[in-house]
Amino acid sequence: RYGGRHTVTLIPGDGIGPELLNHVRELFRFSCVPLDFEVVNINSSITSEDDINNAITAIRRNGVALKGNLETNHTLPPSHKSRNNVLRYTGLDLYANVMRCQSLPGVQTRHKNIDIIIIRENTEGEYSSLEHESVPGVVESLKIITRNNSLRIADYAFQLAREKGRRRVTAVHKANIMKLADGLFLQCCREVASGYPDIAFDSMIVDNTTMQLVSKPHQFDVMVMPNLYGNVVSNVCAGLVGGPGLVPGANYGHNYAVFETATRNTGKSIAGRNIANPTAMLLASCLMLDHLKLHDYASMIRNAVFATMNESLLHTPDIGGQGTTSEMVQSVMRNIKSIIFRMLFII
Amino acid sequence: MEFWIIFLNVKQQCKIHLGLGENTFEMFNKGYEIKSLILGNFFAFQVHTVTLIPGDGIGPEISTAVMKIFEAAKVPIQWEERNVTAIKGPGGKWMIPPEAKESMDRSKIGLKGPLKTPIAAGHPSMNLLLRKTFDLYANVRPCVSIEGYKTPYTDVDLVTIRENTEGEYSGIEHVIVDGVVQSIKLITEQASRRIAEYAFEYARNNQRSSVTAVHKANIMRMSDGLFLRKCREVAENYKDVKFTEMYLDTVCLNMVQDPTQFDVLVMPNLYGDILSDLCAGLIGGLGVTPSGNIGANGVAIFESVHGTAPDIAGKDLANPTALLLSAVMMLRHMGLHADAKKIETACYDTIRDKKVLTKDLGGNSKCSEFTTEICRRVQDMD
Repeated sequence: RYGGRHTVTLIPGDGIGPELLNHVRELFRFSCVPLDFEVVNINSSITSEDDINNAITAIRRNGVALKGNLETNHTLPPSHKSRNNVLRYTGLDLYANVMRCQSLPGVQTRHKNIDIIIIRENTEGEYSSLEHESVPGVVESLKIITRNNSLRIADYAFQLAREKGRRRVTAVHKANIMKLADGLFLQCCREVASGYPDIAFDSMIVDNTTMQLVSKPHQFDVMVMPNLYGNVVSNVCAGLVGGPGLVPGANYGHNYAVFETATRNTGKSIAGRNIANPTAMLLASCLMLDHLKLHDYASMIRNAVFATMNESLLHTPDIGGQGTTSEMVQSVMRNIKSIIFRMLFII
Repeated sequence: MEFWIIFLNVKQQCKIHLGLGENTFEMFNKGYEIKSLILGNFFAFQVHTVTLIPGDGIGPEISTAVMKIFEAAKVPIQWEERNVTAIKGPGGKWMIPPEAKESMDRSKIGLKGPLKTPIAAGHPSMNLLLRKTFDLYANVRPCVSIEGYKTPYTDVDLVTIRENTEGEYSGIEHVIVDGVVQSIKLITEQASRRIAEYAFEYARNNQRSSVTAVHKANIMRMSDGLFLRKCREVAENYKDVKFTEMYLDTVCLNMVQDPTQFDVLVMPNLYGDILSDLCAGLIGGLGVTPSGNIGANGVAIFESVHGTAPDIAGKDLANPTALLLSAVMMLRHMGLHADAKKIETACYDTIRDKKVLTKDLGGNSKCSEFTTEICRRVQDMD
């Protein structure tokens, strides 16, 4: 924070990232949020490491970032690692990915009134990118689970549950098959759970979890899990509340935080057509404002977004409507204006 | 395709099935003495032997239910009951009893109920043993919405084909240093090619229009990359079936929003485990989901994937639908399509009618009542 204004790193990314983040900037300017964006472009087609390193330095400098998803070209050799991943764990140590799946007003879904918080270990597990071909035609991929990281994420989960007044934490695992790896994760969760007697703790195997999520999602409160299961479960839950266009995500580390859409899609097929749903990115920017302690601005924008969601005529195609991105953003701005007028009249 | 008609010296009525792919002709022989023999494919008249593994808990009662229904439908199947509780063979290695193995090797087809997973019994799970003994490399689960058993998802009609031997479930784990554990996911060219070939063959044989490979090659470049490459290679030989690839997270996301966009899905072990259970949840759970395991050397074992339900075992409360639908899948695998259709229709009609349903389906009838109702419908169809 310098001169009363925050500076935040902005990484446009690929696909729908750039256009959505432009809308965020437009909205912030309109709402007079005391925030400046430092734009750092990462070109995913170039294989050099420089632009990634620039981004990491910028995030270190500002402490907070808002990003669109970066496409991973998996026809390139395996040494060219996923850029999103590199940002997350190299040097920034963003160990907790938090996603709150909340049913939004005005959105038609099969299940109603869902409110699940998913906490996913973000740095290790199956995403360690350690692979080798021991013999031609036989590939080994290593999944690493460490005690430190498991304890850390479990602690984060219970702290968050306590902070938000949640009653239960469920650990998702496959320890019946991966006895040592997931067994260690589960054991760490149990250890941490014993230090939080006010919060109930149980565990569930990942395949049963997905089955329960599609039939009885209301039994879940807070869920904590290693990396890959987190990917699966967060996508299932995002689908349950209405799709990738609605859910914001946050990656927290001890010193840094990066905000993005929860399901990390580039949305290549809808890029540039003004039909992307800006909700996820707008709500992610609200999470960022909360993190920067600009709570008033955060609530204002969030309430404006919820009010817009209620008007089904403005829904974008992904949630069954025919509206455009810009129409939605205009509506949010109108709602912000009316919120401000109402505040002024109260004063 | 040529066909045999065997006329026998019989005094009583007998039904003769002639199989010609999808078409089945039924002829009643009303006691004529016929002595001529016409060349053809004798296939369908023989009585097939199937190894039946009742299992534990509710296993025996649901197996009995299936046997009763098959008898009512006059399906030409002879059951050989076997037990697969692990025994220690010479050399100290755990193995399934030799009678069971011999029976399976002979009949090539098996139907299995739920098996108890032993905790601290010293031997690995029986399911794992069966898988290793018969090299059951493909787990096939067709998920079709059941009319009459309502779930938030209607019109689901997809098949998950899961590689069952390697991947994340290789069981290779090490403690590197205290507090750091490594688990190895193994992907081989051979297994990937085999499962991809099976998936495309299945699609072709069952008139499915597309196969989707599910992977995470953006993160696990080499392992899932290898799997994907093999799928692509095999797809070249099956131009009549559409091939697409999709990330695991995208599949999950789309599956809970619109499951109708998926047809056949093929994937490595862990993703298969998660997705097949996810799809089972869409149609109503493990109590109504059939499953088949295809092995090398033509062996196939069909099973119900739910648990042993020890709390209701022996009380005539179990739901035999999962095992019954798996048996129907088995009939199709054996080419007995008419019998399969008959039993399947009887089962679906009973559930749709809602008059006689077991507790888990929302009614309060007993297992035997449910079975009798299906038997009645099957007999009415003749």
